[in-house]
Amino acid sequence: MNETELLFASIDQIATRYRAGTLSPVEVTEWTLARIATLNPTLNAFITVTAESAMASAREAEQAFRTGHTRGRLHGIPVALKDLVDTAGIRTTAGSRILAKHIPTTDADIVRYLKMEGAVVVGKTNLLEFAYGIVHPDYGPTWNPWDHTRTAGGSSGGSAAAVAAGLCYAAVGTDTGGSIRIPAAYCGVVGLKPTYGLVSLAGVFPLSWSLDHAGPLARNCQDAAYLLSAMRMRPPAPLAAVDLAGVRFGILAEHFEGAEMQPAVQAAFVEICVQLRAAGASFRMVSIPNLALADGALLSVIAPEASAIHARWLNERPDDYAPFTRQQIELGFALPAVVHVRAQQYRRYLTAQFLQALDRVDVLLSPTAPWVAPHEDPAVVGDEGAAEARRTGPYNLTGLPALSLNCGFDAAGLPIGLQLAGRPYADEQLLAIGAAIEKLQPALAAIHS
Amino acid sequence: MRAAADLDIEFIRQIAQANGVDLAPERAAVLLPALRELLAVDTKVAALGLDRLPAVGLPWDTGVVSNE
Repeated sequence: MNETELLFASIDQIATRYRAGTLSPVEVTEWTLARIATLNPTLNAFITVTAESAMASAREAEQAFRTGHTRGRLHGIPVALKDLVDTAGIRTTAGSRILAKHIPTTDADIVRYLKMEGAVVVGKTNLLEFAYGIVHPDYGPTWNPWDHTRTAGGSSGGSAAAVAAGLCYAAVGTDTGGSIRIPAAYCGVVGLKPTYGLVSLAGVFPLSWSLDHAGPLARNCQDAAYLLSAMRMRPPAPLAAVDLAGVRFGILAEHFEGAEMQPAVQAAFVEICVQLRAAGASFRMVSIPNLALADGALLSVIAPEASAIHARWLNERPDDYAPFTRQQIELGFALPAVVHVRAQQYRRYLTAQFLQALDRVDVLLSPTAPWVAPHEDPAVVGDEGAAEARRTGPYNLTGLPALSLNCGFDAAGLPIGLQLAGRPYADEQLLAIGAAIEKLQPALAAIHS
Repeated sequence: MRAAADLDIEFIRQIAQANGVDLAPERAAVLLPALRELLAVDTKVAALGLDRLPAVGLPWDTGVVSNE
């Protein structure tokens, strides 16, 4: 493998070479930082590159490999963090002017855990302002590595673009309505919104406590599983092999249809279902009562919670927000409290409906997003924003784990995402099924590498 | 509670003010369509009769699994 091939290799391929002494963390980190220096001016995936501390971590890892004091699979592996995850001594902006000079004094839990595993943090990735609004003009959009005129998606677009462009092997994102899975779909990578509460959010800037999740983005399901394990302070381990012939898939009727659905997305979804069926998987159509209320309920939970978080700054520094972020924050102040409470009750109702469906199938399938990467991120409030998050938001409401992985490309070569969702704590099962699906598609794997 | 169709700018300003934020009339006006939509959804959620379903805790830990 040459340098570029190694930057797109799997974590297993790199870790094996580290252990054999044929590759060093210092080399890989130097190549990664050089690639960031070359591509970040175009992609704008990173807000802060932590070259100095990354090289120090890489040298420590190299010494550990020399002396046999190796840690887990992520030891010496370059990773990135969404820039709302606190990093001690490194500014954490949340993509905002308000926190532009904010330097936390402690690491978020997940950062501590990743460092314990020996991961090399190469930088902090770009995001929509506070993971909520739109792109703040002080930072600008993250561009999609597959088409530099299109967005990488929001809000974890920097993390998704960095992974897709070979600027790190995996990255941390957060997801309140689809902010890991939508960018993963647009950038052709894997993104997991874990089960609610599975991953610590201590030290992660909140958007909506009820719906926030932190999770991994990576180029394949096994790499995402390694990062997820490390984020939970569990030893990264290989995924169990899955025989797709034993898997019962449910196609969520409401999410397969929709006026917003692009034909290319629907066609790619049908094609992967055909392949899964040929592999022996079973299928049935599934319908969730009153799922149409989820768009509004999602916003009725997010808006007041986000407004409570931003109350002081909204009064003291309103002009420091991007105009649309400010508007969305103001929205939450004008919503009666009982609307929020009823939306919270609807979450329990909706979860019960999903769990009943999951009594009959192992996994619910849908496209992740109804379209390929657009030129701009739609605002959360509004028809387009609702349509973009229609297939992802219900899993924030229900807290069920949901995984996005690539299932093809449109005629212009833009990636299309497939979403798998399962029961509470079925995170590794989803990743294992995702890994089996990846094996069905060697042509896609070749494109990604 | 006021129905979605009855919502007006002054009412939005009053709620925001009660929540600690002064909204200029033109800023309140911008919020009107989204708020109307959210209140319309809320009316449908209210019609589901979820009155005693808990509003806190893990979403799947409801103790209530009925479709009724």
